[in-house]
Amino acid sequence: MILSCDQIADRLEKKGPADQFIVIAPQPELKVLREKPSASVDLRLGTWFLAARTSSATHFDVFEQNIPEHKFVRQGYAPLGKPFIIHPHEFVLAATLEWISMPKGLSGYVTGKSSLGRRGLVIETSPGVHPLFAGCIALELANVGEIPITVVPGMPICQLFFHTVLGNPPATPAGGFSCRRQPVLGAIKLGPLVEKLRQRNALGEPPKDK
Amino acid sequence: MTYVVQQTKQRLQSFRRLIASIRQRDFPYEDSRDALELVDQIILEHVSMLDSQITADTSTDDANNFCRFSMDAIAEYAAVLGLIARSSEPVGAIDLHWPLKQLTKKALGGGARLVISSDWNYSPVTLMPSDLLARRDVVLVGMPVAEANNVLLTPLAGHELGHNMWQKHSVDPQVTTLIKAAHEEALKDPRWDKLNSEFWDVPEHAFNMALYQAQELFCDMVGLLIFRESYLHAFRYYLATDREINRAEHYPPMYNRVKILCECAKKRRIAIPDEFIESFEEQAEPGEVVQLIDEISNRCAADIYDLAQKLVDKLKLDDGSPEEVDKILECFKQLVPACGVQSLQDIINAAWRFELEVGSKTLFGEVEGQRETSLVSELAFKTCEVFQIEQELK
Repeated sequence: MILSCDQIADRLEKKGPADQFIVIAPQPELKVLREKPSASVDLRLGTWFLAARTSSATHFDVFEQNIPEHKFVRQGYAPLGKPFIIHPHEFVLAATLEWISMPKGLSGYVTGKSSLGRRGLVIETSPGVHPLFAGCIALELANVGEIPITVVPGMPICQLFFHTVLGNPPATPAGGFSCRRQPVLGAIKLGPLVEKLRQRNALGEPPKDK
Repeated sequence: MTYVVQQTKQRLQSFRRLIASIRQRDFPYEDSRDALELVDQIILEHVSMLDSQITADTSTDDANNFCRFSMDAIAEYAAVLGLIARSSEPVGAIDLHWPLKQLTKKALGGGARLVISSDWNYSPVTLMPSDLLARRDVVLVGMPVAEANNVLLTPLAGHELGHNMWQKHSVDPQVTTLIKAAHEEALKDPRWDKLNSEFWDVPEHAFNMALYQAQELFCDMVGLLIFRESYLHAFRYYLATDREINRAEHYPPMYNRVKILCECAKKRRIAIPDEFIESFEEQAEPGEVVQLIDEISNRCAADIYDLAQKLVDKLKLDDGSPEEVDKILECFKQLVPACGVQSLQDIINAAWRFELEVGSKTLFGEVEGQRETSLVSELAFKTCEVFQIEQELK
């Protein structure tokens, strides 16, 4: 079940089921939210960015657990209200201005603002926000158009939908990206299958079918 | 025109070219750009001075003196330029700019500017070139780069602000009077007779150094009065293992500073952290001259505190509230930044309490030490930003 704007406002005011209380800081104006004819809350662009840099690093290696992040990306800061330009075919990591604390009874998904999407700006490519997530939501901004686009920290950039979690809610949050205000690359998880195969290769064991 | 004059002009032009290149950077706030323009004006005035003052009739000695004056400016402003340039780098100190600027404006006046950078220094520093300050109230603070993303060190910027308040609010003449009296009184003690008679310059040197020490004590007290308990925590974090092997005589002995801080904290009903005094070591007795300097500044400590307290109260710099600290701490414990905050001091005090009560534990299996920025800094920096947004929207 997707929460309406009125229900989102209720959860921000700590009304309704306790396991669905949401915190958004800074908090959106509840009166405006309640009057919004949709089922999501707008989130704004934050001030911190990670953009690609040229260096001696050759490629992202998924086997490398300690990613030398600073070889691939540089951190940038654009003050609130000041422009930040994303050039054609440029990819930039950003974060929402709002810090979200998801309760265990809700999860969410983020989608871009269609007005920006129509101009070639893809906002979010991994939109799931899990129960118990806390932090600013990372945004993957890609200008897939042909014209540079100006974005401004503080402007609405995406929207967050909330839906209830059925069954037993989780006791701990998924993933290790919580509680950050700045975007980070983070480690890539290979999964048990690849890990097992890697260990076997490292030991020189033959594949199971031989 | 002599070679010296020609080369001095070249060096001033090189300096201005450097300013022009720094001007092209994206600064996170306008104060850096304003400070840069003021430096450029000052250097340009030196160029004009050399052009107008040195003529064919000017003697070599006079010309060299003009050149020396300009070279001194380059030497002084090179460090300022470095600090301004580094303020454009995206490190933790950026998040502190807005709330610290509000504090700076209250301390020095509405037109004050603040440039806060991450400096390649062990300790926090403030640069105070007199020309720049005389034109506008520009505060230049460098926080140690390795700790730039550590919000817990913020109170030390309060000490650096104290140096600027010392100058702005003419604290110097008031403390000079106190030091003069203490100096006269101390020298009556027969212990110093030998020093007095054998070294003619000791009394004057002792007076000057005691005045420097008094300024440091004043700044400690300003930091304490503004940031309360968190100043003591930050002070210990940064200085507890400072064994003062090469102690600078213009700094009061660490153990005295700590004891004086505790006395002031008691007067203001500021809680002293557990094992605070014990965290610092008592030093070996210094030489006789330094003993005399220490004694003079120590005699004035209570009066300096009164001056600091009156000034901080007059400027309403201590606007924290324990209830607000509790509220913010509760938010931090729920892993959310606080909304509706009223002062930077409350954020920093809550951050220190969070750090001491929760911060070192693991968070959902993620080891705190593996994060680039600590959890407490994330929460406190974000709270600073929320504070800014809420105030801007008022």
